[in-house]
Amino acid sequence: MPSPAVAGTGAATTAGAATPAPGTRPGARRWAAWAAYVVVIPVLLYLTPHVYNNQLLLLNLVVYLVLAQGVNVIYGFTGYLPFGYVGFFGAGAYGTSMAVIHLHTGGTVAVLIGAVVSTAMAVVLLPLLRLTGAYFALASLAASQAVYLVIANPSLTSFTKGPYGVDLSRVFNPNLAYLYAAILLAVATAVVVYLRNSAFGLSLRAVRADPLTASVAGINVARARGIAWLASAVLAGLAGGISAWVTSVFYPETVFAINISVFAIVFALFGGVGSVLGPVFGGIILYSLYEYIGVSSPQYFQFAYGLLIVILMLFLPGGLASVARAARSLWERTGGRVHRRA
Amino acid sequence: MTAVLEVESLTRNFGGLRAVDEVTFSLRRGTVLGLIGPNGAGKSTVVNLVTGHLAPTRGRVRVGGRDVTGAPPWKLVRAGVARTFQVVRPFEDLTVLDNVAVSAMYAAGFPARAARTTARRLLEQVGLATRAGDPAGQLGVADSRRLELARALATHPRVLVLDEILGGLAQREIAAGVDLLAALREQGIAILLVEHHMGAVRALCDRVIMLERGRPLTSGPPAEVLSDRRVVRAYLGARHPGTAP
Repeated sequence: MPSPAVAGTGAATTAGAATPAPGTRPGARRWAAWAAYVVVIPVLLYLTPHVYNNQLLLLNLVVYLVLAQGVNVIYGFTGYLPFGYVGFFGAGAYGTSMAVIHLHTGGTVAVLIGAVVSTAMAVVLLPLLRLTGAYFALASLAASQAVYLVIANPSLTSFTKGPYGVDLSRVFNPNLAYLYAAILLAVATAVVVYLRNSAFGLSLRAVRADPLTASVAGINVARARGIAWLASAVLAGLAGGISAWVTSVFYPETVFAINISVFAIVFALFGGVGSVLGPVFGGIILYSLYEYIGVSSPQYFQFAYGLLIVILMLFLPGGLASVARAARSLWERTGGRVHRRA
Repeated sequence: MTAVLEVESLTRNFGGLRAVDEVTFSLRRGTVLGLIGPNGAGKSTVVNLVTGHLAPTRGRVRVGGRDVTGAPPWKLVRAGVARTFQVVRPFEDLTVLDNVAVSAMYAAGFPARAARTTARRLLEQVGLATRAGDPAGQLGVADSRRLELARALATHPRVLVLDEILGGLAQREIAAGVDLLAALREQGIAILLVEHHMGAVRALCDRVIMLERGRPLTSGPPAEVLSDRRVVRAYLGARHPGTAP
């Protein structure tokens, strides 16, 4: 639940009956809604290129939506704000590239290898979870830049191609990659649905609320956090691999750009962390805005998004989802009469 | 009947300070052991050592005959040692029911549905049933203590370690708390009671250990220990007039 106040109104008005708490078995209708979220949005996005003929832009959008859901998993459910999230994305991209270049695999296998690489990086970085708050955010950022500097190191050119970039045009297949991206979005959303409804998700929220109390409730705090961390890394690694596969020719700074972290975090926060659909809608709205206005003057967008992070965390920690929830609860309390007065 | 909790020569140093020094006791099923002493005597350190929040410098902790010395809190909880905190720390944005249910799931191993049934029953038992759907952050002090107790009970404990659970409560709430704890003792739960309220200690405890500067000063039945001249002196100071019981 993103913010205590909002969670409070929701739980109090419905008295825990209409909205089943996480961990309970929701009714059939609710399951149908979850299934629709998981399936319908990715399918619609998958079909969009037939209407709006810019598959590359749409793929970037879907990749960002996956990243926003990944941020949702780690930040929304454990409270760790991963400014270095791009590190997993870059590791996935380079893992994929190395597989294509050195192991001569096809795109599909390469993307999976990329995910393995990003997961391995997450395992190595598990000790970062001992830090909290801003210290964690900064340490994760530093870690991602350390990986970037290793990959961009000219003396590793024979392996990583160093700062000169990689070329994956041999396996170029944007249609298949776009299909994978849509599937990945469905998987990422399903992960969030699982966290919203399972005992494990409830334990994560308990850990987020108070790790000490969680430990005396029998929760293995380090393990719970670690699983969420690894899950978010797998999502970012797969997103990075798919993105690399489509981008085809790129440089280390392309896939380790801090902007990627910032966008994913802003999209997730704007939409509402802890919710299933918030990051998806937040991403669609803000990324569209960026594509329409921001491409011509990107420097303003960096400023605007930085400002947006601060404002959202201070004044609207629940994002759009909390606004929607408050509106719905108002609607239910007033029996839908609210619009007649206006 | 064997002891459910055995503590042997428990010692803990913080740098040069010996906070707990050679504390030994055992606790049988359905009994209450009181741990008293002035502030800074090492009571909370004993609690933290017994519940896995601190590792002892020396000594052993056994639960049901099994050595659990140095195990982390979540393992000790699963082994049957539950605790409450002196300063209550509920999961504020979770409902009261979920606060308790999560313990039943993770410490007692109940599946989600059974955990919620258990949680409802426990909230009934501690008198919080009407607040089940509210966020735990909205509870007052007394209700937060009830929740803390329900959360500890949901772990299905053999030993309940209560760190000043009656602290800061009004007289009527203390009486209700004492009745509740007496009922738990009747259920067979062993209780380690760290408490400043001597009325509650007298009413509940089978034995009392008095700690001073980390050492057991004296121990025995509550009537005996509470009237011990050294105990009175430690609490009230040597020159306090009219301290004779």
